[in-house]
Order: sequence, then structure tokens, then C-alpha cells
Amino acid sequence: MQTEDIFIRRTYRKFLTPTIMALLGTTFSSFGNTLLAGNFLGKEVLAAMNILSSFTFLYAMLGCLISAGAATRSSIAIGRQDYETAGKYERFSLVLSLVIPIAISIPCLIFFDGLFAMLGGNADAYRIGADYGRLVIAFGFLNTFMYFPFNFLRLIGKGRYGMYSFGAMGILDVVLVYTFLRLDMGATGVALGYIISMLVANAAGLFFLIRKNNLYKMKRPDNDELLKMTVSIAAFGGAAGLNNLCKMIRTVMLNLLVSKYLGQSGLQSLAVGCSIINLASASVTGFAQAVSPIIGVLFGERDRKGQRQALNISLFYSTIFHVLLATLIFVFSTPIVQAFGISGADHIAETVLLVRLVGISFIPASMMNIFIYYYTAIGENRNAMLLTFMHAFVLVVAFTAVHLSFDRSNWYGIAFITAELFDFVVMFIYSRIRIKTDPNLQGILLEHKDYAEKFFSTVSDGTEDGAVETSGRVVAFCEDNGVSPALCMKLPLVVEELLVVLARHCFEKKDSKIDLRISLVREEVLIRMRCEGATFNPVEWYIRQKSTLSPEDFMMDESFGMNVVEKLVHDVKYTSTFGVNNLIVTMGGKTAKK
Amino acid sequence: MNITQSKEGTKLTIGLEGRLDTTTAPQLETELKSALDGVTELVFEIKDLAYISSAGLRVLLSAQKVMNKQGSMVIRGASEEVMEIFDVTGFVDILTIES
Repeated sequence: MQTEDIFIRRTYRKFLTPTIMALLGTTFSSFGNTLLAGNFLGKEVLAAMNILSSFTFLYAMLGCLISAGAATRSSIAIGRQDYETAGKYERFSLVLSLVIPIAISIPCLIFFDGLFAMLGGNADAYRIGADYGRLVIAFGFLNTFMYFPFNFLRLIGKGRYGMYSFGAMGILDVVLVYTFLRLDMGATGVALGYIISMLVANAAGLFFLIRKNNLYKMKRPDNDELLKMTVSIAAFGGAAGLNNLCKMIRTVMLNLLVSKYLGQSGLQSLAVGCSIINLASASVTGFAQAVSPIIGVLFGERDRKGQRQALNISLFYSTIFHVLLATLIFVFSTPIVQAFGISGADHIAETVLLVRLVGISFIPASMMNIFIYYYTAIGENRNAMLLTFMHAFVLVVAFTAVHLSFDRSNWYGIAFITAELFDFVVMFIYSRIRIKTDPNLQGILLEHKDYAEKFFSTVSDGTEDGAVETSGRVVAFCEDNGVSPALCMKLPLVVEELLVVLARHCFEKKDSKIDLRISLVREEVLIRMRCEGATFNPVEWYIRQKSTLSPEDFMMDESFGMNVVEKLVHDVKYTSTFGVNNLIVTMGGKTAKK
Repeated sequence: MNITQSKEGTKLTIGLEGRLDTTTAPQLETELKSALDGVTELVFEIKDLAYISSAGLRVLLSAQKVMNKQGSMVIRGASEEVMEIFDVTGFVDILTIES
């Protein structure tokens, strides 16, 4: 028996690998750079690079804020079949991703020396890292721009091209950095390797995005829309952008605290821990980022059950993965630490402790990220930002400060775990408060109560027999839920006609599936069908057949079934969402055709 | 779907009970192919027909075309719901439907 969530599960898996591989490519760059720099240039450079990572986070924050926000907004627009709005957000995001980071880089370069000192860099760190830092800032816009093709390629179901572009970036970066370090180019060589690999990846990602987007076209927004769109992007991208901003500030604060209580060796250990965190962020946020556009579309379709299924699937896969990851980190922590150039038995032991605690924190951290992206996708942006602010900054810094004031050891790393766990408490408390302010919401997931009164969800096996069998089950659903006799006849009929058309035109294999969801609110019906297979637009096909065939031939043609559907429903819309065929039908209620 | 046939001379009465859908329409089509030889009056009794889809409509239309050449065809006893399908698809203008 097929589970009802099979489509969501398969779509999520289709999103997951490209998302994580693309993110891994970008984080592997950072991880590889730190590893190679530590080995070639000595562990002293680690402290300098960790200080300058604040700028990297700044540009990443902008990229997340702009592109994740715009892509989330676009995903909701797509769920409502509003492709013009989706195109406008994409175009606006492209422009902002270039203009804003360049505008920020200019004063950062002018005041670089002062900024470096303010972040805790001493004379030795300046000597080692100044040129590196200036290059990172000058080309920081490439870091911001990365998020644009990454987010929008996933949205149109072409996430694998993001995987190719940014996965290759990680490899290219490591190769270039290794080469430049062998050529004694020092920290400058590290920066150059990073910049060149980002440039290539961005160019490839943009090329694929422009060539592969058949869903909608980028559209220039009107001038009077810009302010509203900027606010919307900031709201929807707030949590994602805030995550990087908080990481940036957290890095600064942790550097200052650890430097004060544990000195240079503590800073070096922290740099290793932060590198592990940065590398693992591919998966710690990847599972959440992969499910976010799916939830956005389901939210736009008012599919509450689908939202919950997507969330549960993501939590399940993420937990299993991060338990395995934490185990691997635990087991291999000593060679990992040594690979960064950390030496001395005591220093290695202290760093191993920190790395293991960090590894364990990935389990609750990934779960919390999934909830944060969930809340963002359903428009609960304040909740998402609060949880982000707490878990990415406030709680970690607070718990670390408290711990270090009593115990000056790397056991402070337990703050990474307790911060995540405490954030779940914050999530629970906030949801209670939110429900009090809006009684239309319910549960910790803040779902709308006025979604479907009655709901039917099933998977049809993509054959004509399956279509009829599913239609029969819809009859039973109607009878069990007291649907009017008129609708009891029309609804199964519409379902049969559409399923038959999709079965005949989308599938060559017999084991393909069509996901069917029906929502009833009073007598208003929303039917949603999704299937993979060949891309086929039954609406265009029907219009084409009707206009080319004689009336007599048309009545005998298989497309006449769509004519029956057209007469019985209010509207039929076709989209290709996430690379699958997607039909949305509305019927019944006051908007029904006679 | 249950299909019953009764013949009186050149008049053939076909009773349909249940659902005339994508999977059952071929069954009716097969029966009609051999049954219409020599028939000049074809009557469909559909008071027990609960459901009809486009596949069923096509079979009825096909039968109507045959009977236009060799006699007449009438549909009797359509329920309110089935009648609505005939109405919205324009089949009321093509088929002869008696209440």
C-alpha cells in the first residue's frame, strides 16, 4: 500500500541531495581553506582567519537574506500560480545580490585596519591576514551572489545544477588554494583560490538558471513595488540572513571570550571547532533549506496535512543523518584535530573535547533549523527570527560566558548543545503566546484552523484502472462526509477524467504515481494532483485539440474528457512545480459553473 | 457495471446499472458492436446508472452515429445527476433523451 506522503517524500529526496551537495561545496571551500592554511602557514594563521570569517559571514548573511527571502516569496507565489510575482522577486534578488554587498565592501575596505583591530586582531594576526582580509572583502559580493542561483535553481526543480556548480566550487577551491600555497603565495593565495572558484561557480549557476527556467521569466518590478518587495524579502529572508549575522557576531563574541579566558591555544581550538561547524552547516541547514520551498508551495496551496508531512519527513532524515555524523566526528576527532595542525598532547585533547561537543550539537541544531525554515515558509517570520537569534547567538554566547567564568576549559563547548535544547523551550513558549494573539492558529506548528474542513489524500497508481479505482474512493469520501448529491457525482467524475489524462500522457512505466489531494471547505473544493513522468500540460493540450478538431471529431476524441471537466469546475490551472506536473482545480460553492 | 439486453424484433433495449466509466465503457462498446446488427430501434434504460464519464459518453455517441443510419436511439430514465452531465456537455442536443 502506498503511503499518502510518497510524493512529498520523493520530492524532498530530489531536493535534498542537490541542496546538501551544493552547500557542502561552499562549506568545503571554507573548511579546506582553513585546513590547508593551518598546515602550510602554521596554526597562527587560524586565529587570523577566524577573526576575518566575520566578513565572510556578513556577505553570506546578505546572500541568505536577499536570495532565501526572495526565493521563499517566489515559492509562495508559485503555489498560488502567480508567476509574474515570482519572476519579479527573482529579478530584484539578482540586482540586490550585487549592489548591496558592493556598497558595503567600500567602507569596509576604507576602514579595514580599524575594523580588524576592533574584531580582536593583534599585530601578528594583522601581518598574516591583512591582505587575505582585503581580498575577501573586495570580492565579498561573489559570496553574496552565490545564494541567488543556489536558491532559485532549487525552486524550479533544477537543484542538481546548483549541486554541479557549487559542488565543483569546493573541489576547484581546494585545488587552487593548494596550488597557490605550494607557490608560496601565503594567505593571499588562499583568498585568490577562494575568489576564483566562487567566480566560476557563480557564472555556471547563473548560466544554468537562465537556460533552465521554463516555469517563468524574470520580470522587472515596477518602481512603486520596490519598497514593498524589499520589506517582504527582508521578512521572509530575515531568519536565514539573521542566522549568518548571528554567527558573525557569535564568532566575534566567542573569540573575545575564549581569548580572554583561554588565550591563543583556546582561540586555535575554537577555530577548529568553528571550521567543523561551518563544514557541517551544509547538512545542519541543508535538510531545512531543502524542505523550505516545498512547505512554501504547500502553504500557498493551503495543504496543511502536506506541510506537516514535509516537516516530519525532513526531521526524520535529518536526525538519522546527524546521529551518524556526530558518531563519526566522535570516533575520528583526534585525527581531525591533528589535520588542522594542532599539536601537543594537551592541546589536542582539549580541542578533541570541543570538537566532540560540537558534533553532538548538530543533532538538535538541525532539528531547530528545520522548524525555523518551516516557520519562515508559512510566514511566521517573527517566530523564525526569534528562534534564530536565540540559538545562533544569544544562548550560545550566554552559556559560554557563564561556563567560562566558572570553569576555564573547553567544556564550554556544551553551550552549543544546551543552546539548541533551550531554543525548543523558547519555541514552545512563543507558540503559546502566538495562539493567544491569533486564536485562528493551533498547535506548536501554528497551523490555520480555517483550512479544509474535510480532507482526502491518496496516491493513484498512474493507470486508467487506478484512475477509476481512485474515483470510486472519492465517491466513498463524499458519501462519508455528507457532501451534496450533485457534488458527489461531479467530484469523482472530475477526478477520473484528470487522472486518466495524466495516466495516458505522462507515464510509460506502470509504477508511476499521481498524488491526489482534495480539500473541502463547506462545499468549495480544491483538487490538487501532482505527478512526475513526461511534462504534459493537459489544459494546453485540450485547447489545442478543441481548436483543431471538428466538433464531431472532438466529441469522440480523448480530450473531450477535459471538456467535461471544464464544464463542471470553476478553474483548472497547470504548473510545472519542482519539475513535476501540477494541476490545481477549484469547483463547487458559489463559484461553481452550472 | 451490469448490462442487460432484451430484444423484441428489431427493437433492442439495453439496461445499464452502476457506473459507465473508463474501465466499463469498453465492455459496453464490445457488446454493442455485435448487438446492433439489424436493430432499428435502440433504447437505453439508464434509471439505475449512477455515473457516466466521457468514456461512456463517447460510447453512446458512437451508438447514436450507428443508429442514425439504421433507425433510432432513445435514452430513458436518466437521473438528475446524469442528466446534468448530458446537459453541460451538449449531449442533450445530440441524443434523444426521454424522462
